[in-house]
Amino acid sequence: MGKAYYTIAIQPEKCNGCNDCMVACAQKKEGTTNPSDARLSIELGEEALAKGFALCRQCAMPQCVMVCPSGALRKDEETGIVSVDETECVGCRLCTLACAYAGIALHPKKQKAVKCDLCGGDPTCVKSCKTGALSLVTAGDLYRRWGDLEDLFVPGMSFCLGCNSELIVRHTLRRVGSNTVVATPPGCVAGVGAVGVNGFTATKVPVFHPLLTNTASMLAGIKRYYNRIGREVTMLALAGDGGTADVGFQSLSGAAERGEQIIYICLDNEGYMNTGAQRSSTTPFGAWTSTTPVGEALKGKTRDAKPLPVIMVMHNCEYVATACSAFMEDYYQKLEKAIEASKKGMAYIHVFSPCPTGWRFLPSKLIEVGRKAVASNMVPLWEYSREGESLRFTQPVDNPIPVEDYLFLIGKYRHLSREQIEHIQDMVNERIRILKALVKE
Amino acid sequence: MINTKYLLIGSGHAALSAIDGIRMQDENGPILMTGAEGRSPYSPTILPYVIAGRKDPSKTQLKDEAFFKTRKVIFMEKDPVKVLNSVMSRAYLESGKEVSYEKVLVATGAVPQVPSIPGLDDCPYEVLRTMEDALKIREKAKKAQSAIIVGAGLIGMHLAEALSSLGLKVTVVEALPHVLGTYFDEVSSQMIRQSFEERGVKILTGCLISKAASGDGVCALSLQNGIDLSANMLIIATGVRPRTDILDEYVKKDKGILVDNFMKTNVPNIWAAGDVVQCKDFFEDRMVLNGILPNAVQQGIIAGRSMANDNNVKPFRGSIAMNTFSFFGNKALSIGQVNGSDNNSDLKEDIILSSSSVRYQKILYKEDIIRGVISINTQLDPGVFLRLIIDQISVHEQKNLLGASSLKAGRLIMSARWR
Repeated sequence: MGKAYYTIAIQPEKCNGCNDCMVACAQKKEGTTNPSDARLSIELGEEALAKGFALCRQCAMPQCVMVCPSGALRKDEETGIVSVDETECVGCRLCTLACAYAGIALHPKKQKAVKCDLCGGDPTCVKSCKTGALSLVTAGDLYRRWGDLEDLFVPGMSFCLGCNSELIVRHTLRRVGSNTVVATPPGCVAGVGAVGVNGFTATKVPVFHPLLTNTASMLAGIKRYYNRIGREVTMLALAGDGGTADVGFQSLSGAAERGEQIIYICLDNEGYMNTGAQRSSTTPFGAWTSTTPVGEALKGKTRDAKPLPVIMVMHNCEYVATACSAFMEDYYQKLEKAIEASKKGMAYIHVFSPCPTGWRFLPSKLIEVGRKAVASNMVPLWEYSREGESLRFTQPVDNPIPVEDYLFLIGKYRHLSREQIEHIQDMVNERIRILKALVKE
Repeated sequence: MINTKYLLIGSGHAALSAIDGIRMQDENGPILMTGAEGRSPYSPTILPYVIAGRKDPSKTQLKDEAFFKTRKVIFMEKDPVKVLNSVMSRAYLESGKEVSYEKVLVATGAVPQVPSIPGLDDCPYEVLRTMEDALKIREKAKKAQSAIIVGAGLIGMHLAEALSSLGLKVTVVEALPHVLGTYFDEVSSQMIRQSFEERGVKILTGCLISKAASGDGVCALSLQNGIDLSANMLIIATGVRPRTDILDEYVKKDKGILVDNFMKTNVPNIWAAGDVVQCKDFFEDRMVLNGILPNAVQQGIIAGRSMANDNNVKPFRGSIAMNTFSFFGNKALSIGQVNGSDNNSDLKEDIILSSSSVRYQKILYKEDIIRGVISINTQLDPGVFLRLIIDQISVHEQKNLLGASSLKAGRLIMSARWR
């Protein structure tokens, strides 16, 4: 139970109606080239974007399986594929009544239910799709792998409802593992109880609470001690943007310059959120905070955010990346690289961490905020490694959406004037230009 | 004394779905499921196929051992609950065992409803609800030349096809004016009837039975209109009634167990789902019986989640009549309201009727919202139309396309709503 599986995802706007997927499916499954023999179908409507899809989603709780009176349908607990045993199907069609996706139908000749079986895990339709409208989502692998790892934070911490940082720190420590010393300077992660209450910590690994100013230097010292006694232990900082970009910057900069072997993860919620939402140097231009209020004179922050990840690229780090919880596969790949890089020198990941409480949006919109931040280039996702010798966009955005599509999801930007939005758009364009200049062609 | 957190009484679709509902929230709470027949779970819906020889009776199991093992469910195949004491939270099993539960789901299903006909008790008649019934009918049919089926509902008509395919001469007797009257309107019902009659099945509608008698391996029925019928087999298929006999008087019942939209009864730790309940109707404000498989599955999931204190469980939408019905290679479908346009001016029909072939489609609208669909041999996705009805989607602009090209229009509307 609770496993995650592969499924085929559809992006209608990329589909040009070429029928290649249906022909490929019909060839493989029925030996014909007739699209109507395929186990998926795409109907074109009159308007350009109107498309009607009929395709099995390999549901987690498949209704077709649950209503089958014949025991002919089953979901494989290992692969997640929902399949029909034709010899046991009596053709009653209750499954077609249960499926809202038109993902199962009666074979016209055999009079048995037929459906997509993902070609056993490597669907031929996806391979035939030239426009990228169909893709195989393999995120299930990730969650299944990490689901087996132990959560090294205890339950019952006092994170706010829908906190992005909780999501990130639990995933992170799970992957980094128990052979770790964690540092959480003052900030949200420490504030919710990570460093402990009454002598009990909320982590199942050693954790300490440095000052805001010395997170990186304390970790560096501990790492050097372990190196001296010949033990390989991972050093992990889980710090906020204040403890990283403002108060903690000198020790971070020094540790990076010396190539200290630590993983430093900055959870950037763009302000001092646990103390009442004050501005930090990573608070974006125009954003409301309790120290950059919106009134007659002032309309939010008057300075642009400090581009800290780019600054870290210039700091002689082994590995630098940006990440966002809406792109978990991307984050995990970066985390893997950071773990490796930290054996040689400093690995720095800057995680965009939207804050429902301080930014004023509904917790249920968290992932949407993340997606649109990336889609608008407000938060470009990239990585830089010394080995790779170049900066690389990991989720390149071909046609960015306007920044206001992102900004107006969030209460702290609600007051923005047209001029302020234009300023933000110009800043975003400028920063993308700089990043692109760091990409080696 | 056996202690369990969850007790599931019954092993049909509702109880099986409840397992998944519970396990969404509670991975380890002990679940005990009791069956009555000493068989792996199976669906009564499959029985006509068993009789027709289209389904091997040894291969009807809905779930295998691995299903119960991975979900940590103890299934006692043949130890039905005899009495449920709702005050003590105890169940007394037929074997004499006692079960103490925290929460219980009553999913005991239904039993055949047999009308009171003078002389019937002395006749060797059959009903069809259990595998045992089906195997008995199949055995008897091998030796019989003819059969009378009382009731032209889904089970009766399914049986009529099954027995006639085995070579029996079949007569169906129905009190109402049409066959399958709960699912099909007059035109489609007539179309179905004609298909049966063309294949030699005799159908008598609007007929009440005055008495039954038997002798020399023959059952005889006298109808009130003076017709006398006789056959080797007599099968009563006049519907089912909820099996509520295990419950004490503290659990509120009308025709079935009364439940709210989370499948809770009036007793705080008792839930009920499936054919045994009487629940809200989707269209009207009334409590209805619903012997419909997809509804049972929905109710089972909701009951299970509710039992496991799932805060996000959405209430049951209300019972919607729906079914698929295949006859002699034809495919019929009925969802929602299918009658009522004549005495209710709110409802409008969009009909496609073929005069030369067995083909009919009716979409019933209330303003721009679909209320019901009948389809015989037309192309559409049943599940998509069910979703359009449940979500009460306004289809104003696509109405013409929906009637003329139902498959395509349905998919276009649904796909636009996914994103």
